Amino acid sequence: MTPDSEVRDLLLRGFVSTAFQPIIHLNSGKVVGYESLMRGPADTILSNPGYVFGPTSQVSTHLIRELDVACVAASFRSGRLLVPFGQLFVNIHISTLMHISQWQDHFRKLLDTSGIPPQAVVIEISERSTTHRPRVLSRILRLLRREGFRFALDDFGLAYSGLQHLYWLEPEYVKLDRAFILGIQRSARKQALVASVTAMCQKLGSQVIAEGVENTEELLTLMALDIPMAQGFHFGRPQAALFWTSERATNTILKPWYKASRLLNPEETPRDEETLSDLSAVDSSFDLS
Amino acid sequence: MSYKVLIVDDEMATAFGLKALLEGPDVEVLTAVNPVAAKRILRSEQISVLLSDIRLSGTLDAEGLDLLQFAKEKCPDTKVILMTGYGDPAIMQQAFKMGASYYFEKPVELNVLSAAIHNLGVPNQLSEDNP
Repeated sequence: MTPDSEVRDLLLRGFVSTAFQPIIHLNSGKVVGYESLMRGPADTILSNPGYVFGPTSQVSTHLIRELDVACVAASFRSGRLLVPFGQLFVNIHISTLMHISQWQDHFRKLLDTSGIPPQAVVIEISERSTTHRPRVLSRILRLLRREGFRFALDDFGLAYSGLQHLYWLEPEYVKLDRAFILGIQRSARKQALVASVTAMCQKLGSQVIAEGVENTEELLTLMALDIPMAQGFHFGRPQAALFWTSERATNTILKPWYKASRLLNPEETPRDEETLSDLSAVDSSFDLS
Repeated sequence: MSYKVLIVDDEMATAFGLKALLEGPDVEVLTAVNPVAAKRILRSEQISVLLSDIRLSGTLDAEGLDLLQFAKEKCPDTKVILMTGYGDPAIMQQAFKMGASYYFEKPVELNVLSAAIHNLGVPNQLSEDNP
């Protein structure tokens, strides 16, 4: 089976699903939103998004777009459960955005069917997939922004064109690549870089989200640096949408945040681990507006 | 040639709505609202396509996967389409591994569903209207 025929077969048979990972506001511990991530069956070409969307992909461009659209559709179908709790961060390939007129009605219909307002959707654009026509993309984004969509520049810091994208696309969010977060507690240079990028983004009207937070030390460092938001395995591995609506999920998210808060400000945060479940029950009713 | 399609959904309205849409001169559609009734039909009838919801009792269980396994063991010629209103990569993974022909996260467009049934060898009104 060729890469194209394998993707086509899996798409036709519906074997594309999505998992979600929470994004946390570090000052309050509130969930800001959930990023949807494509999941395909193990041992197939869809088992790793990099096989299809990565630079070495052997899949035809038009099929990548079809898969991208199927992933967006799956994100909306499952993500509707999470919209009452936060924004829905959905990855869309630049190539799909550049041809958005072909898909716009389809997306609109999907949003209507799923009961998701465009204002609840943040479209993530990866820096890994660049365009030579940032002005054209900027115009497309402006039109979508008028409908209510917001944007995040994903994997920021990886590509050479990052600043150009930041300038032209005016994203509401900038997601700092995990490479800058890994071991940040041990690197004064990473800390200086992350703090400077955050300050620059704030001046430009974008909020920074640190990606790939995996332990208390990294989280603590980011909180000490006043980074607005974060996501990563430390707050929970990607899970089905339904999982994140449960009380268990609230605990999963809040526990690491409380631990870091307590270490950072011992006098201001709860001392007793036992109070966690009580607090999470209260915090599950956070105003998310 | 005549075909039998079994629809399993705990929402009777959905099951009967689909029955009305898929039934035709050569296609008989049977319905069941729970796994016990579905297994009884699978044992006694020669079903071409089993179209089942995954969560049949409204709990977190995945009874549709159990039906898939039952069909694979007892009537291996029956093709299985699973649907769910609660997309879950882990369930999708299992459905694929266990040999489901199709896995759909709801809402599913009717033309997509009818095309899937058509691809499994069962003609139906919808696929004939929209080739």
